[in-house]
Order: sequence, then C-alpha cells, then structure tokens
Amino acid sequence: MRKLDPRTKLLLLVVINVVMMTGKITGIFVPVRIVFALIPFVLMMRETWFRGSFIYFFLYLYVFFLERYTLQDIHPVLLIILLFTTGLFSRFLAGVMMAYYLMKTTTVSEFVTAMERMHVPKAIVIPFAVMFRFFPTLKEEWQDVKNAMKMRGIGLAGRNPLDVLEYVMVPILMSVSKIADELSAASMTKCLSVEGKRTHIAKIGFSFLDAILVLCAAAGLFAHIFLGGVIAT
Amino acid sequence: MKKYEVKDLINIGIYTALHFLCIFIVAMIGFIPQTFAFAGILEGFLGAIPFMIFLTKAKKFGMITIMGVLLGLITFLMGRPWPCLVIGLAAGLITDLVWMKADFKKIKYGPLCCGLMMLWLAGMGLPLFFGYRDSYLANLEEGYGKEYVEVIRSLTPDWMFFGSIIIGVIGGFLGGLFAKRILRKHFAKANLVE
Repeated sequence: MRKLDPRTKLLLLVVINVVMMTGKITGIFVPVRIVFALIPFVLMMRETWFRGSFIYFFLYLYVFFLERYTLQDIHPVLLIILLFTTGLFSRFLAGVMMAYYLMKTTTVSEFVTAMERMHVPKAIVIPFAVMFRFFPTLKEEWQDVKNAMKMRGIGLAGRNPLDVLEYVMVPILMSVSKIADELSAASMTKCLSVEGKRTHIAKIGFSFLDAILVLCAAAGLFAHIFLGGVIAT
Repeated sequence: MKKYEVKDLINIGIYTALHFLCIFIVAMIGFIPQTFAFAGILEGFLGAIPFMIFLTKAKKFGMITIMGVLLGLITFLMGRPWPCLVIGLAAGLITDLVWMKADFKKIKYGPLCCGLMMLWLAGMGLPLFFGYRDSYLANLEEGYGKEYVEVIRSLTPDWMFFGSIIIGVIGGFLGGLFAKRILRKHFAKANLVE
C-alpha cells in the first residue's frame, strides 16, 4: 500500500481545520463538512485502525445530528451548554483525528524530507520535527509520573493546586531536560550539525490518491473562500 | 549573531511542545465563554513554567523568536486566520529583545519575559473578535439561533480582545514568579540550570 505524501497530509490538516473551525455550518457547507469529516475516517480505515475509526465515525454522527436537528426549541440555558459541547466536538474532532493520523503515519525522516523539499529553513525544520515526535513522548512521561505518584501514595485530589502543579511539572521538566541532552547526542550520530546539502533515504512522492485528496482540499478551500464560507471580510 | 547549534534547535522544539501542550489543555476549558477570563490566567500561568526553563537554555538571540514562529505555525495549522502567524512572530521577537536586555541570564527579568511571550495567545482568540466576529456570529445565527449568538456577543466585545491579552500577560507573569521559585528550589539544586 502506497503511503501518502506528508505534504498532502499537512495540506489536508490545514484545510480541514479551516473549514471545520471557521467555516459556515449551513447551506452548501453541510455536504462540504461531511466530506471533510469523512476524510480522516477513510484514511484511518485504510490503515486498518477499525476501532478508532468507528468510534470517531459514530461520535461525529451523533454530534452532527444533535447539532443539526434536535437542538431547535429547547430552553436557552440548556441549549447553550449542549451547543458548547457539540460545537466543540463538531469543530475540533475531525482536525484532531487528522493530526493524530499525521503523527502516527509519518516518520521523522519523511517529515524532514518533505519540509526540506518545501525549502523551509533548517532552523524551523529541526524544532518542528522534534516537536512533532515529542507529543507521544510527553504522554509517556506523564504516565510515568502518574504511576510514580500512585506508588508513593500521593493523590492529586484535595491538595493545594500549586503543590499539585509542582509535583507534576517538576519531574516532567527534569526528564524533559535530560531527553533534550540525549536527543542532541543522538543527533550528532546523524550528522545534523554538518553543513551542506543533506541526502534522504525516505521516499516520498505524490501518487494517485494524493492527487484526489489535494483536489478535494482545493475544492473545499475554493468553496470556503469564494462561496461565502469565509468569515473574514 | 552566533549560529545555532543543533542542541539549541532541539531545545526549542521540546519546550515549544511542552509549552503548547500546557496551554492547549487549558484552552479546551476556555471554549466555554463563561470561563474566558479565568482560562486566560490559567493558560498563562501553566504555560509560563516550561517557558521559564526554556529561558535558562536560550543563550542566543533568535531562539525565542523561532519559538514564536513555531507557535504561530501551530495556531495556523489549527485553522486560525493568518494574522496569528504575525502575532506569534511579534510575541517571540519582543520577548527576545527583553531577554537580550537581560543578558540572557538575569532571572529577574524572567517573569516579565513569560508574560510578554503570552502575547501569542492573542492569535488563538482572534476569530472571536473584530471583523471576524460579526460575520462569524451572523453565520452562527443561521445555524444556532438568536439566543445563543446574543450570549456570545455580550461576552466578546472588541475591548475584551485587549482584555484577554492583558489577562494572558498577567497570568504569564504570575506563572513566571511561581516558576522562578520552582527553578530555585529544584533545578538550581540539581545543577540543571546555573
């Protein structure tokens, strides 16, 4: 199975977020929104992540219908509370799923290759690539801190919030600054600091599926900008 | 300007990730407008802690600016209007200038830098204000009904934009003070910073 080009994924992420977060929710934008909500679903199915993609699908379906049809004539206060939750999900969910897909399926070398093909300066590429790979590491660190706290019987509830913050942040920051040192040592072996043009092993390129998705994104953006979806005047 | 080593660039990436994550978690709560003011303080406060540690590693001019650019890029990727890129760059540049004034080491200036860095948060809230706001609300009205829109409208007049910036800066400053204490208490002892 041919992998998608990282540049396509980035473009899709931007367009999905723009359309979902700032676009209209009525008129011709109903089908547009549905199509863009389906893109992460299809991509995730393609990776055979059935559980995640179905959870996403039904959650989105639920939120979508709740937002469109049931919330018409109910008490304003209740409406506002419900709308904030559904609004939150219907706006963020597709983008979050796309970001998750992007992070899971793109290796760092593919990402760096794609960025360099786009002529992004090195001072931006390297921090971005590090950041990109660092979110999962942070999640692990957070799990470790939680476990360590549990093991020593330190609960989070019923304490001074500033203390809690200290208990959680200090260990994370400590290990983070160690990780930074280790990563720089690792980068030495990959000769990141060497001047000159780098070559890449990672093969990236556009395929047929890329073309379709890019067309989709372009059409979505076109609708967004020229058919009145854009919110800026 | 000295050239950046790879170690600097890696530090930028790591601390930007941590900083952004701290703020993103709180920003989820801030989607409910009733907690708007509160969330701004909290965002600044939490985000300032990793940023303070980052300051102790930023010994060259430009590192904080790069961080600002990255933050602007992420906000843009999250679908905010394009001026958020400029706001990110500006926030980074201003903070960088202040930190340069502090010779890249006077921790006394740390809380001020933390506060100034929070200016980039303005890019996150941008769609709710100015020209964006009226068309955004008009569009919401079609889908959501009048009552809902009225509540949002009453909560987000234009001055609230500057209000939210100031709130964020204050939050950052307070977080910086707290981070300074942590820095002295834990990190200086472990020789992780000087």
